[in-house]
Amino acid sequence: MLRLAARRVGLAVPILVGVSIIVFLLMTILPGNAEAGLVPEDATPAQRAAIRDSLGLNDPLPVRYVAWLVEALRGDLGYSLQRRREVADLLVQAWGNTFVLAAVSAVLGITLGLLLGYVAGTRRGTLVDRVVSIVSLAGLSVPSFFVAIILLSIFAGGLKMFPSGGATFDEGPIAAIRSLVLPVASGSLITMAITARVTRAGIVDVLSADFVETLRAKGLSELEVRTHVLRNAISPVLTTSGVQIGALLGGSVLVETIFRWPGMGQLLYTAISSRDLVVVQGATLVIALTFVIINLMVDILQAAVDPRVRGAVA
Amino acid sequence: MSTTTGVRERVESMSRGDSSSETMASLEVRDLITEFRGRRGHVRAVNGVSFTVPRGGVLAVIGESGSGKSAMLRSIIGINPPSTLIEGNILLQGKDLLKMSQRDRRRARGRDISMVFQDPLTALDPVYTVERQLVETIKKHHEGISNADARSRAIGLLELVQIPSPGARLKAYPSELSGGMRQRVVIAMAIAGRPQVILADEPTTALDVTVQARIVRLFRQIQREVDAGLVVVTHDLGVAAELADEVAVMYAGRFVEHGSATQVLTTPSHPYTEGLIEANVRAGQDRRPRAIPGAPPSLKRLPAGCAFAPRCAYAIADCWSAPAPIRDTATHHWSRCLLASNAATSS
Ligand SMILES: Nc1ncnc2c1ncn2[C@@H]1O[C@H](COP(=O)(O)OP(=O)(O)OP(=O)(O)O)[C@@H](O)[C@H]1O
Ligand code: SF4
Ligand SMILES: [Mg+2]
Repeated sequence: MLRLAARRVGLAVPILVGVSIIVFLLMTILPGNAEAGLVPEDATPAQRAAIRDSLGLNDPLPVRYVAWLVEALRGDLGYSLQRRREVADLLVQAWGNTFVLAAVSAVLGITLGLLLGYVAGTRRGTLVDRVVSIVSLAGLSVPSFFVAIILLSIFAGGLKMFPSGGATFDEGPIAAIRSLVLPVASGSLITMAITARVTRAGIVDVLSADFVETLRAKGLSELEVRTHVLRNAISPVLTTSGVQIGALLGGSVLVETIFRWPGMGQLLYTAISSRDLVVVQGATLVIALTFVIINLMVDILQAAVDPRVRGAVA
Repeated sequence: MSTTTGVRERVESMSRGDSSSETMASLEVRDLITEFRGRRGHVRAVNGVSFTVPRGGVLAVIGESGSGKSAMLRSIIGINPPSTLIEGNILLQGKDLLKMSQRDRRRARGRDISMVFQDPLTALDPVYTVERQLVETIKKHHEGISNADARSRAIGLLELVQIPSPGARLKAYPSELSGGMRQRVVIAMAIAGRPQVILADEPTTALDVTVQARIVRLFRQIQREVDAGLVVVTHDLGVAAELADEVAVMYAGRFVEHGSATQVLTTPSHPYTEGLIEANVRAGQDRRPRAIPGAPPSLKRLPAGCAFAPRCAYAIADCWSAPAPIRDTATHHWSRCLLASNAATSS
């Protein structure tokens, strides 16, 4: 198990290097280069060249990549001229906000999804099952920004029950929870829907497996049988949960923008619209890193619960 | 299928006393009816089956695919879908399983009566180790047993089913074992509660030919050792001949012939049994199974007369009008055929 974990971590390293190269190239290839903000509008070509030189922008690409990577590893992702802040500072703050939103949305969405999927799967063909299927299909087909707008106009606009936006953590726990309700509701819906569907499908599948009869025939109670069933059905749920958590931690641009939630999505959105490339670069790197780490954790967890996965890797 | 050749010779060479009348019945089934109820009609898979199996006795049930053999075993152990109608009596040491509370019935499962399924590849939970599955079963049937005791019992069981280095095998997942090994584990699980009756649904069909013979021998040995009654469903007449004291032949949800293994397999008195044996012998000769011509009747609407009449070479007009009566053809040997004990029995 430990060796498998080490192997997986080892596999993640080349992926991370690849990601960092792509993110680095992103900045050098795109127009509106890094020096743009530093060079006065009326600079002569000679002045431009001098500035580029002093920034090391005329060095060969590999040299610049290594220099950039070393800085990045030391936590220096550059300085945003537009925001007049260190990129790393901006990222820490935005990631923290997104993390709160993502964590609450993920826990809620996955828990509810598991519960609904379990109930539907074990009561296949009943009214409950059909209702869950319809709800989860709706959750999948309606885009979360649409849900966000609806929620916003009903609960923040019409009823004024919850604030319409912003993370208000410094105004005490009640305000914080109130400010989370609407973004979490719209953010967790898809996670819940996907988790419910995958869980239901897995449970229906496992319930028809032969070994379930063996379990019943040896006298296990229905609850004990279902523990076995859940253990067998959990693997695909882990996979989709990983993808969902990754997506949530990446920050939903639309949901965060609608609720003016100062997270990664919103940071990325404003950075792109103001051509703030250092921030785009830093944010992309952090999001990619998040995905790789989440996938790594899912892989290891999956191997821990499912020997078939372990066998396939080892 | 290698075990099917020379059925008659082997059966005749086997001397096995008919002890069913002396020993107390550990399983007695009376007029069992199993009907799967669906929106598109009811399927009467078992239509009035009665038999007894004494402690230590072995009954083999043979019959074509779809004759209701599995449905019968499932009804006895009680794992049919909830919508299934089950009638009759299933007496285990005198107590009727069908009259018990759900809870008592569940408790009897695995402890008093257990079941071995056809395919060991799929009969074990793939994500639990052999140890967890065995210990779980043992704990179910021995209240208050410690983990350590349950584990040593598990090792003991694996030894009993002749699995080499059982300590190491405990740590294995089913996928890490061969088909034969898995079936041994399944058998170990089936005897974990020291049941009085073991039901086995084609326990060797899914195995390699070479492994089949060994598992059959193991079955015989184990069943004697734990002194349980055994009901084994099989397509393989060789398996029936090797294991069984008695053989029952099932057709369209009914037993159509029942007697000692020797009697039924060497002097069959029902045309259907004859056909089964013919098919088996020919299968052994040219290595190609040849079925009885025609197909069994729909279990949704059974014919008024003998269910075998449409396929029977001996059928006479009377066969079509009323169900065939049960005719004794010898002591403890009967046949559900109008012509039984007449010219129909050519052997
Ligand atoms: N759950 C069910 N619902 C409806 N019909 C069923 C169900 N289970 C079995 N049957 C039907 O009952 C009949 C008997 O099936 P069963 O599985 O007992 O046959 P079998 O003798 O074991 O055959 P095989 O040798 O192929 O295993 C078949 O016609 C089958 O289609
Ligand atoms: S009763 Fe008639 S049809 Fe049925 S098996 Fe006997 S001879 Fe054949
Ligand atoms: Mg069957």
